[in-house]
Amino acid sequence: MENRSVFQQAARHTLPVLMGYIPLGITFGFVAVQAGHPWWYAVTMSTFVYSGATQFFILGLSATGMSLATAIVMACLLNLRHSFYGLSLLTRFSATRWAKPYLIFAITDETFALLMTIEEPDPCTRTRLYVAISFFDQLYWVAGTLIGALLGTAVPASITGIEFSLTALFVVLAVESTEKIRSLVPLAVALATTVLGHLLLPSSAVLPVSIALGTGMLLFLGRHTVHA
Amino acid sequence: MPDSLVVLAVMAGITFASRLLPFLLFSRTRPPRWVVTVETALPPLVLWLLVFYSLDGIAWRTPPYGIPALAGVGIVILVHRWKQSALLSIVSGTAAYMVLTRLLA
Repeated sequence: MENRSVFQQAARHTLPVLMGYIPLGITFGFVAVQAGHPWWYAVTMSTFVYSGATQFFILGLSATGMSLATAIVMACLLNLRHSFYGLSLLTRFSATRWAKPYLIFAITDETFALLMTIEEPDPCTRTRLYVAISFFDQLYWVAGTLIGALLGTAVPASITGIEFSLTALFVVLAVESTEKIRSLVPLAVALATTVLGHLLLPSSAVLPVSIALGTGMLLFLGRHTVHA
Repeated sequence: MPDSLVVLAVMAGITFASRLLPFLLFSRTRPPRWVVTVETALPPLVLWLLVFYSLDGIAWRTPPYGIPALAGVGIVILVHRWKQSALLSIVSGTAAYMVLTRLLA
């Protein structure tokens, strides 16, 4: 198969991701600039971090004044789902040689979903197709970010209330991950530890203690309630 | 928080490490069952904690009693379960929050 046809195939496969990443990238770029960051900071994030949840989380950091230690723990836990994706892609990526580092870097929810479903028999073309798909997806994300960041720069006064989009994104991701495991236990545990934490602890300690306590409870309850 | 670019580098490192980890650990052996359980159940826990954390600054005892934020969260959940479009859910929830903040101010 020619490179040309690999590109065409990748463009076709990634069309639904285009429809999702451009608008969401625009939202991210816009919110980042409205939060006081320069446009290139938003674009750099989308290029090198390339994880919507983590990037919105970083915007939240400067707004909430979370300590760096807590932020690091949160980011690790937030990104665990990528590890879960990696587990499923181990065999698919086993013969990709030169492209493997980029393919691993570029694992996102959407790219994972595409790569898991695509059938391409020839191993040589398969690697090129995987790279093209991963690259196209990231291109949409970065392009969306750039558009949003420039729009954000063009709108002079910051719009009150736009920061709620951060909470909204977390709710979206929480709803999706909750539906995936078909269990309300993590939600209940999170609610319980947050309420308990606010009653008993200083507010800066609530999040780290909730994480530790919640993880412990999940490990304890896990085998009965989680259908992975 | 320290300088933004340091934060960005640290976060980029963590994100890449999370993607790389399974390839380093389990290239030869299969992952044990508890790893899979934890990796499935933790994301919803962490994300719900982040939802509550991001609502931390709200004054619940004074008007508007956190109503815009609660309504915003409710609308995001409903719209997302209805249409499964992240953008639509975020935009409608944020719009509702902004409108209610102004109406109830």
